Amino acid sequence: MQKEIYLLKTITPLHIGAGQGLGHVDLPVVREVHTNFPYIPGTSLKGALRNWEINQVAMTIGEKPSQVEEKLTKGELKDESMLRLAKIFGVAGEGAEEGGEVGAGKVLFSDGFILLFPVKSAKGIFSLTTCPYAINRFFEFVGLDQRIKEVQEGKVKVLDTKDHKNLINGKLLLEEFIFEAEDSQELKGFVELLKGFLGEENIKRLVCVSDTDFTDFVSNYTEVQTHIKIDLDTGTVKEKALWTEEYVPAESVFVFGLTFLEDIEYSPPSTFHLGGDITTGKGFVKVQRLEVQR
Amino acid sequence: MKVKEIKQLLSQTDNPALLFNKLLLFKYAEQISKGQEIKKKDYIESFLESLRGKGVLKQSKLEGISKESFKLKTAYRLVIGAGYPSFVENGFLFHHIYGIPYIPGETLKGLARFVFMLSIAESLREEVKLSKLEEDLSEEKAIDVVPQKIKILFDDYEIENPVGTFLKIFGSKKRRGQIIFFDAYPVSFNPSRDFEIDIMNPHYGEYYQQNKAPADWLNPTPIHFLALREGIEFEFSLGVAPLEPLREEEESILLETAKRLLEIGLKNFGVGSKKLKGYGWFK
Repeated sequence: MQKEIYLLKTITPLHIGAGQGLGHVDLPVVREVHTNFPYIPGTSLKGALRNWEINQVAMTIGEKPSQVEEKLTKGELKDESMLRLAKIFGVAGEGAEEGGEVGAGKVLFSDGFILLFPVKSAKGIFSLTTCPYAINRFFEFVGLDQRIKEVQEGKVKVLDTKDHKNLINGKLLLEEFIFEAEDSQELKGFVELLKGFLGEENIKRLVCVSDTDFTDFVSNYTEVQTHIKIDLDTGTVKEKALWTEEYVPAESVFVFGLTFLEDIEYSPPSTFHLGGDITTGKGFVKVQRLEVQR
Repeated sequence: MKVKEIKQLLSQTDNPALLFNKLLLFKYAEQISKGQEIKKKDYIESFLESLRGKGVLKQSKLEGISKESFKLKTAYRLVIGAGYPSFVENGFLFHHIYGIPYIPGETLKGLARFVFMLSIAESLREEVKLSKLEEDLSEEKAIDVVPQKIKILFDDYEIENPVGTFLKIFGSKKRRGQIIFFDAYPVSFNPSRDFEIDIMNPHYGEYYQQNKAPADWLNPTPIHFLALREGIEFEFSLGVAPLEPLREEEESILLETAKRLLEIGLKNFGVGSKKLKGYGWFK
């Protein structure tokens, strides 16, 4: 059994819906029950990646994706590429019943947990915020024995105050909140891990706020877009066609894991699509495997 | 205390969205708390003032996900998102994170779709309401009066099998479209140069709003608002999201058609507010 860790960044806003909302947004994003952080359900991840692979196979054998999927559920796995698909994602329905050789998928897809959440900053455009809870959960998830201590509310820890993109005289202004910044070598291990994925530029935007402040940001500062429909005869907004939709903003970073129960050659594509509104460019993400030296 | 602190940090702010929608308010906190009116002109001018000398702003690139792109320049001023809530009467659409102006993919898709429908309507012998045409298309009803080949409005470009092509690009209630319209961004946005203060001057406010006579004793009421200057280059990007494998040739036809539609739309109909006054057009 082998576990691989992946970092995922949203290139465009991401909407994985929670259905109809009762709050101020008509279509909210799905959130974890215990933290209220937005997350990517493992099922969404697996579904999106499964569709991607099915499309690839469909393209190579010249069939429709729906035909490939049907074969998969029926357990028609003579073709090698079909067998591989079945092993990765599993076979449901008839294919599984007939005592087929495959059954459940041999790759487990975890949920995607939020690690960095972008918040507008007065200086340097935006910061990538995180918090001790998110970092420690990440360490635990990747199997590292490091932990970082709490941060006081209204304070923010950064690796290096001198070389930071967002600070003005040691202060950080995120949305309308002021934070006092302090150097913290504690963050070194974390920053080192993310450097390759984020790049030199964005790593200097990383700030660690308190768990409470982070919860406020991910709860109240997501992207909410207003959508309308134009009445073609009048050129004005159509009545009863106005709704608001919530998105996890571009530049957010999540972490997820793949656990291999069997040795299978599989890695997700470096960019793919998740969630809703693909035809207006939403939900494109970029992933990269994270090598962790334990 | 907080107000004072934020005021001190204001001059360093380089995120236009944050400045316009939030931080600049702190500059006027005193007046606001005393219930004094803030002039829109002052507000927008100090917005422009604060951004003076600030460098070019960037957004993340659509690496590997867009398949086709083209650039056009604003042919006149552009106002987008004027209906958004803001402290001054008219708002402005800024990117949620990057703080720069952009044109939502949704708007662009709607525009291209509109041009396509107009082109279909043009090709019909009998006049048809666009809303009726839209309904038929979205229900995938057979529209047999449509010729096998039509030309895009104001263009020589020919579209074969217009109804089928329309459904493939834009989708219907049954199937989603297969062309992606990404948000369009300025190629290189310079906040200290590219914003402008603009003015509209309705002369007959009482006539428009209170149903009074449009008499010559009514005074003009100047309203200042934020706009983008002429000559800003935007990049428009399209992508493909096939429902089933598309032949390479078909893919490039769909992309080319969508591109033409969008280009015609931008050059002839424009986006954003005050289109009839020449705003929001591209060249």
